Amino acid sequence: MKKKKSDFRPNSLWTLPSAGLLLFLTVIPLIMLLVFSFMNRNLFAGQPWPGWTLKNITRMFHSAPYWKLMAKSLGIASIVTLICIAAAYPASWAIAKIVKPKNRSMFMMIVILPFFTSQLLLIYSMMNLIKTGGVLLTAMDAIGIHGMTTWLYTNKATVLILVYEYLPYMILCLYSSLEGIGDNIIQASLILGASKTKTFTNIVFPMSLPGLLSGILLVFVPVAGSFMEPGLVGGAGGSMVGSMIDTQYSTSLNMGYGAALSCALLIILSVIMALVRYFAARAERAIGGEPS
Amino acid sequence: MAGLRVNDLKKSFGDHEVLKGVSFEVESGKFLSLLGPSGCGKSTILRIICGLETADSGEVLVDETDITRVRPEKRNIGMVFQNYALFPSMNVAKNVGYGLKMQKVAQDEINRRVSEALEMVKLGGYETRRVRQLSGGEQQRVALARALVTRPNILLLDEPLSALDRKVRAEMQYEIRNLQRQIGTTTVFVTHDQEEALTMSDQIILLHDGNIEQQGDPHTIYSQPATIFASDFLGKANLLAGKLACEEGNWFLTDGKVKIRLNHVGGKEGDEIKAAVRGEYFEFCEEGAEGANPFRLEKKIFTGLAWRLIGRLGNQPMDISALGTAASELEEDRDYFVRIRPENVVYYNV
Repeated sequence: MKKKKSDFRPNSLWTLPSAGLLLFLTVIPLIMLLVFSFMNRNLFAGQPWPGWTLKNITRMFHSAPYWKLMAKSLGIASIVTLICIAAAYPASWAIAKIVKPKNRSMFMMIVILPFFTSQLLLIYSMMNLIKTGGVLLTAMDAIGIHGMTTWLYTNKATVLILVYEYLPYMILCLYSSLEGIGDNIIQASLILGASKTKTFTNIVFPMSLPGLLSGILLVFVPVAGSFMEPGLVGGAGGSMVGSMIDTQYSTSLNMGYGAALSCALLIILSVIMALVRYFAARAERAIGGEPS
Repeated sequence: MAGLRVNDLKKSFGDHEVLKGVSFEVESGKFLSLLGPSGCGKSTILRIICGLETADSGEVLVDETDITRVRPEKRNIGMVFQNYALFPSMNVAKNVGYGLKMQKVAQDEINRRVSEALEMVKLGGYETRRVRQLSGGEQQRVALARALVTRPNILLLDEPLSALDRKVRAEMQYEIRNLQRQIGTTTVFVTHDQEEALTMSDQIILLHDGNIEQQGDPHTIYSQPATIFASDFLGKANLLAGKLACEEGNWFLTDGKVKIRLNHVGGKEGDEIKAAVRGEYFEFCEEGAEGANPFRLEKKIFTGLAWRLIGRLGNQPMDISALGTAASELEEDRDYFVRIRPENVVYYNV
């Protein structure tokens, strides 16, 4: 039988563009990162073949600042993620369940509005807002709250900016999950004698887990590796692990060491994400009545 | 077991008055259907009884205890929703046992009662199945088990069968009714399907536009519709317009061409009336037989159980239904004669 040309049935060829992008933009760079970690010097510094070494790896394991910054970054990422979750649940709930359906897209638009400007611009506008003599402190002074000092150039400012930047991702993820929970399901829980709190923990929370997990992935990972925000608003003691990696590439020109640090961060983040998923699945099964 | 009484419920959404003062009573252990077209307020009544909606005025009493201001989770009412509303994150046993867990019943007891409830709805051994793996009918059984396992005072069913296909629906109608008789929970069933209401209920309340149109047992409601709306909604009766006439103590509806005998219940000679007559109450007869009226058969439609015979009685359109054997040799575009017993004619002044 002759095959028709205008055939829109699923065909493995359709995956080629995305597979190609994935290969060139993700797989190859990751392999390069791994390879660079074991290189002696900078491959692109115009020097002859540098040769293989384990120096970068051992140096990384013995670098106290690296692990200190790693711990700090993971801490900041956890705090930012938790704040985002706490702020996003009520917001997504309101948009998914309280706002009338015809107004929902408008509210979602407001949530993603910050994406329409460059990140850098957002950061600078926030800096303007919270700096000494900025809008926020001036206003507080005006209403009688004096003696406040600015958060700018402290770790608090980094957290604030990161929350500001990543909250929309969390709201989008949670919204998509919460919207799928039928009103009847919540009503059924109430009628069966569950209080609102119990309805949340037993019904809404497990049903929102898929969205929550993607939200955590989209917030925790980039925040843990961020370097621009701490550099701009974190001040002298603001560095995070991303800043240190950045320095290896931009200032020290030590590509091999930078690659080793990146690989370690990547592995640690992957392990954390895998653990989060594992425990979420366990919690879901426990609530759902399946052996964990 | 508990009786349910509802007093003068009123409810508006914005400008739209959904309930205009509805009162009724269900005796303990009885099965009541709230029947009506969509938008008649039947679901709103159910939601007010279970507390998901608050009435503007009026009260809900269970066994003469006013529960109008009680929160839904404290009412001990079971409810089955149209789309089942099972918890997708839980397996069957957890779904059914949810209400018991909220009542802090011991786990052993929960397990025992969940198994019992599942046996009752013929889903014994389904405890560990995931909800998504079940068919629509099975999901509805789980929902029913979940609503009944807490031994609620009142069971509310909000169009629970409308998402099921015909065959499963008929099975479930029979089973729900059986189960309800067996355990004797006072039940309020909401439906827009008159056949379902007639099959299942002890009592039917026909609602129209926020008011009770008629209330009674299925047979009375069907055979003696109190209003034109009732006659039309339940089984779609034919309406014949004409004048009331009296000859030698017998009363008739006449329009010049037809003369239908009826039992006089009010009105005087010459009054304009409308009579509701059900298509299945007609019988074919010879010309000149007592009560014979001319019927011109225009179209014959086979519906399975019966033939639908569309035509004119005198000048007025008429839909007669006749069983297959009686109607198979009738021909379209021919004149016949039909008659109907006076007790099967209900009329209204217009």
